[in-house]
Amino acid sequence: MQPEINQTEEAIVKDHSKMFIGNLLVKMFYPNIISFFLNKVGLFDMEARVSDVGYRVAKKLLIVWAPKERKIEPLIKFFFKKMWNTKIIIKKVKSEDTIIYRIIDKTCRYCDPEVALEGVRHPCVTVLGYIKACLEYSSRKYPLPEYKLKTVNSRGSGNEFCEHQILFKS
Amino acid sequence: MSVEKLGFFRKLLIGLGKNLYYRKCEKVNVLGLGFMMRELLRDYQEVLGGTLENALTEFEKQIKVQAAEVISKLISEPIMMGISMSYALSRDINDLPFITQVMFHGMIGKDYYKVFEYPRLILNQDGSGTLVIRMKQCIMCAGINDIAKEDIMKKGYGGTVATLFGTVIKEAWDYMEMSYQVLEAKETKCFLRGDPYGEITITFAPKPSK
Repeated sequence: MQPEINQTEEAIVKDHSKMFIGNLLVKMFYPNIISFFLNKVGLFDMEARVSDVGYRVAKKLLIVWAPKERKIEPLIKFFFKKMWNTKIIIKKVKSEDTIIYRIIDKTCRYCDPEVALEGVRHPCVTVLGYIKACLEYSSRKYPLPEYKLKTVNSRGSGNEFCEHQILFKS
Repeated sequence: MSVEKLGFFRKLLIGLGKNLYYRKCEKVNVLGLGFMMRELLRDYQEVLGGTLENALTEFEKQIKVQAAEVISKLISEPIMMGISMSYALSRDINDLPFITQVMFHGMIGKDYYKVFEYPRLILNQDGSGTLVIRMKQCIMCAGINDIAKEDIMKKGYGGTVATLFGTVIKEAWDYMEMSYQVLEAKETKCFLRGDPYGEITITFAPKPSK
């Protein structure tokens, strides 16, 4: 059978944007990436770099997927479903001067509880970048107040689930 | 758990198993993975202070070690209903294209045919041979438009995938204590270099007798 070479680049991108591949591939390279950056640039820069990688990837994906949903909660849920075929829980916690979105992921694709990475607090910190891109996408329709992002729990460092938080100051 | 040759019934069971495995396994978006590789390589290049080629070499070196570990575990430990991946293995070299195709299906699901052609096995008289894997689309480079041909002339962009496939075969043969060894796994055709299709070749030969 001859290879089909007449499919346009655009059609291939569209095809791939709907396809899923086994996460084993990620498990094969992600721990090494973390170790590589940790050794080369230290913990702080490693976290910044992998998070930025996530941000750049998510920005490109959001252009391809162009979700109509712009509200934070459904948009992030949509993103996790499309990117990692996973369902997450988002809890909104309101207090007097802050609103916290707790993003709870029990099946994080970057954390492997069996692989302990020495000196790494949160292996899945790259997810923050993906969330940041979602917030930026959302803010084009709904301007957002100043916010902070942080990862507070990781399965990769012994926690039961991964948790990322968005902190809005009201 | 591997057999001398895959029979009709075993192939049928493997066919069912690969669907179940794919359905059950953790997944990540193909395009997202491709974009992630590209962005990571950009950072590798920056940190190493070199060319894209250096970044690719470092990346492949790392994946080789980790892949061997992950794959050997996958082959020997139960992954589904108490059955390990070794159930799909056979000692007959002629089963290699079928097994490779099963691997594609387990990896990417029923859409694998959109990406991969049926692998071709070329056997030489001296017992050596080549497994040729052609790709109609590339899972690594779809949507990547910021790499110039010159940046990857010596080293293909999909070398990581070639390394991965080579490692899978090597680990499977080691597990079965086969008398074959993988000599080289490399990308021979690449869309980014202007080729009309992607191609990975895995060359192998009988192990030299001690």
